[in-house]
Amino acid sequence: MPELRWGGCELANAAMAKWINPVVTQSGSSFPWAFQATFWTIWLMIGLFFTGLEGKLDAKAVSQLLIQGAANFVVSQGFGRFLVRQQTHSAIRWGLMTFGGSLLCSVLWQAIVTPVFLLIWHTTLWTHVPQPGTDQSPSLHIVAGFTVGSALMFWCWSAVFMSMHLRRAYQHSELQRLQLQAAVQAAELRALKSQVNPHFLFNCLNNLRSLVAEDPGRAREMMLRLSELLRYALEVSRHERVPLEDELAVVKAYLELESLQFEDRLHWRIEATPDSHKIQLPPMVVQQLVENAIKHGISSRPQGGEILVRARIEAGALVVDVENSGQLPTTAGNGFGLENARERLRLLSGELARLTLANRGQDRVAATASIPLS
Amino acid sequence: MRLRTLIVEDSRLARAELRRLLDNHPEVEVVGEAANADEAELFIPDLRPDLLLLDIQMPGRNGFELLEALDSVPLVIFTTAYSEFAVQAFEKNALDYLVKPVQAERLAKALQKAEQAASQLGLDQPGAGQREPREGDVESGSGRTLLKGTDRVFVKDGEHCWFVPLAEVRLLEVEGNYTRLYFGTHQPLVPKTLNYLESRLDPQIFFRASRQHLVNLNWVKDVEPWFSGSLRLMLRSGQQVEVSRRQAQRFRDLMSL
Repeated sequence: MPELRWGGCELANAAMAKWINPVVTQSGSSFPWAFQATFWTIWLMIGLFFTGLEGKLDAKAVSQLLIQGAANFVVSQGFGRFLVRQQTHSAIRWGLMTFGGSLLCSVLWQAIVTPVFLLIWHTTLWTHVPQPGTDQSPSLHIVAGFTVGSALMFWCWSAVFMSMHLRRAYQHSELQRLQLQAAVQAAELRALKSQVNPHFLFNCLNNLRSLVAEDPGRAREMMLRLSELLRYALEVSRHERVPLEDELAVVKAYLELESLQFEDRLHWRIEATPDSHKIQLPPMVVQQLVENAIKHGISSRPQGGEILVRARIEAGALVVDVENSGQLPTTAGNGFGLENARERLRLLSGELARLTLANRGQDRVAATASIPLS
Repeated sequence: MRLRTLIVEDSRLARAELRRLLDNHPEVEVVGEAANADEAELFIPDLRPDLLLLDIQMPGRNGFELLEALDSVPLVIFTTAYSEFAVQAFEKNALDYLVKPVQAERLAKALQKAEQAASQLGLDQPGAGQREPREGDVESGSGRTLLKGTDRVFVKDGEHCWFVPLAEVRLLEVEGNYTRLYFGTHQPLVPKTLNYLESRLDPQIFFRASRQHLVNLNWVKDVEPWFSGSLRLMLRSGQQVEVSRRQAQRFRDLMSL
């Protein structure tokens, strides 16, 4: 679960990744407009303020500023779109891109504003402030100055734009991370709940509590068994297959814990041929059969009964046999609570896997799982 | 007064744990332990406990089924490993229920409620605890004490359960091998025959009006003559019950006493 181990570094990377992700950009589409309006309104205010200071605040100056502001808006809008689509993680490339982009914007901006100015006022950007002692023709260094000045303005804009965008993207990804984490934990809890019967769990805790007073040494031992079982059930979704010996170790822990509840009403035995120990099978398959056997063969019978778990290799398949006292009810369907186990076995071990349930003799029921060796 | 208590619980360790917890409660006297419903049903008539600490999930019959089988139920505190729907539906009706492992404070609270209920039911009167037949008790033919108005029956109908004092049951009606009980606004079925119930109920209170009906005389408001010597009883609930001709004479005798 890398989600749970994310440090700051990965987080920043993730933020970057989210930021350049067009989906995220779309979901935050209201953002550039609000930002744009605010930024360029402030720019306009400052422009008006300084023009006012110079005592030149007339209709012409104001309309010129408005046209420049509109051009700023249009150009930066395109620049912003270009920036959020860039798929790079390198800071140097980001720097180059904003720098080069700003220069380009500046040229573009002048290309928009100059024709408008010429059309209306027969003047260019770089000549509307008359230089004393010069004619109206632009000199190269004034043009260059203007270009650099407006490029700086766009660069400044892109810095603010990026920092705000990054912050938003970070918050967004942080939210997603927390949601993901919560979802993972909920899924694990659901898995645990579906694997561990709450009646069993609380009865077990209650019995352990009593055992602490009666036989502390055994109680300590049994707490280990419970931990083993819970850990296995909790991690079941992480492994598609486990060796049979691991599964049987957990089944043994489970039966030892159930023995606290049933005492001499429960007798059990586990037998597995040595060649079956390392065979892989989906986790909790045998455990589910044994739980089912406890439910129908022990806990519902006041006199209790016996449970026998046997595993062997037979005709190219692992055959696990769980036998319990009792008989199948004649009225019930063939399911008997095993539909889930059957479905899981089929999904995880393919169509050739079999799970059957049948009476064996007069006083036994056997559930048999057959899993082809892969 | 001490609450005579029977622990009904299938796990020996769980019973031992309850006993340990009850050691801190001198007001409770544990008179026995039962490992399943069959044992409990066997012990209850002899031990006559005031209170059951009753596990709901047990091998064989569960806690509810045990209560249904009892003629008269003691006070009951349910215990369960996992509180589920059945218990939730039951909560407002039962004395209390405890989840296992049981917290000492919760147990103390539940026992306090049991003591209050016991004194309301008059179990704290001298000679109570039902160890010996009380004065005024009427013995039935089988030697078992007949049930009185203060005795309570346990009734389960689908998801709903009630502990009903017999005094509140106004009418019992035949419904095949079952009997329909009328009390409050409810009329659930109990899995016992009317004949059996009649044999267990105090005839001074419950009168067999006809083959169909057993009436709680304390609920009769009015009596009217009906066709050919039969009678019609008006109950305080507005229900009307016909008394067969054969029983009408017995009714007159009973009333004239």
